Amino acid sequence: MTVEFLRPDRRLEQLVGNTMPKQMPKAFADRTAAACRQAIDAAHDGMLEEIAALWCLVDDSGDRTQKQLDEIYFKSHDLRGLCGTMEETILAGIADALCSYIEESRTLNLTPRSNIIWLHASSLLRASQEEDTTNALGQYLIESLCALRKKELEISCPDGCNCSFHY
Amino acid sequence: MSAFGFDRVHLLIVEDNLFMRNLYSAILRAMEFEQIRMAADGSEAFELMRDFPPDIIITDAAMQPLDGFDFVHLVRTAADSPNPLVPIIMVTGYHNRASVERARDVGVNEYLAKPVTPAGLYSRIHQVISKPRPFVRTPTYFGPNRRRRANPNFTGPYRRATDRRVGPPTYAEAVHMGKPRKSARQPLTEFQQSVGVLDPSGKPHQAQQQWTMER
Repeated sequence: MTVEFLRPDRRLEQLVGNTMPKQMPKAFADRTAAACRQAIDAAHDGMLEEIAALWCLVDDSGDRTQKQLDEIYFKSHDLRGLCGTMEETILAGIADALCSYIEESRTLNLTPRSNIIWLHASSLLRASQEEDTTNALGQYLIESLCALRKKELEISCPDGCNCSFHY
Repeated sequence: MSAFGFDRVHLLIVEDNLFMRNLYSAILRAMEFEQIRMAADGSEAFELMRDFPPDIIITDAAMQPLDGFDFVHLVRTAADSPNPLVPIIMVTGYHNRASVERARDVGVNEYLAKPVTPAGLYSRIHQVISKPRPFVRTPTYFGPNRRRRANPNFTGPYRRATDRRVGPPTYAEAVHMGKPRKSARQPLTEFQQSVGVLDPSGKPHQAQQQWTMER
């Protein structure tokens, strides 16, 4: 097999030089922490709007088209990253549970069930309305949703056995 | 002027979420990056690259219509790509191994899982600036060299004729050669020479040749 090695572009090295320390300088750390806090505060209302938008997508009856499912998936995926970055661990955990359910269902060639998606979105909306969601109850909610996902996928085993289908 | 010359570095951020875009911008501006442009998806970013040649790209993975993986693949392999060698950092909420491997195989330089932290972002930028990896072109892959380091415990066959190992032998190899390192109690360089590790020039030591023949 022919393998060709190419030198990387040296433009960055010329611009920055070898002066960049491995650890972030303290001045940078202080400034970025303050900027991060400010951006997170500014994004808080936006995050709530995103959760409400996800709820609007989910809160209707009937089967969903592939396109609608994609939309729900991308919205929850965005929320997983956004809530995690904003240190809203419970909200990030619920969004992660919803993403995982859709991802794993698709991996197994199953159609994600509307009721289960609804339950995740409803939990997310309810948790977002709490003042303090970093509590044991929130953690219990995430674990319950994960257990529900596991159970749902186990039931889908073609042999009908308790084999932890693909786990 | 910024302390490290970051103000001259062109950054392109590809992210579909407005709040995340604002967050990146705030963090990077606090690090004194000034030349920052944003795009909402891969296709917009690819077009933008023509007018604003970026020095570093920071991209999300899940975007529509063109996602981060396809965007990176396009940058690396498209005939009309403005810069196939540009360093790319992927920041994403995907945490699974398959996504990391996919990112590696489309030619991403660095991978950062969300939640985003300033320290995480800084360390990836430091990697692409201070430790740029050579690029590799094979019939099936074009991108940064996927071998980040030589594995000292690697005992399998070398697949390329040009492969040379310059590190110390593994413990098993040293025992096989009858010279376990612990009992030798000598400087590493002397030990390497004594057991016949290849030097950086690629010239094999006599003991190394003998050991290879024995195997």
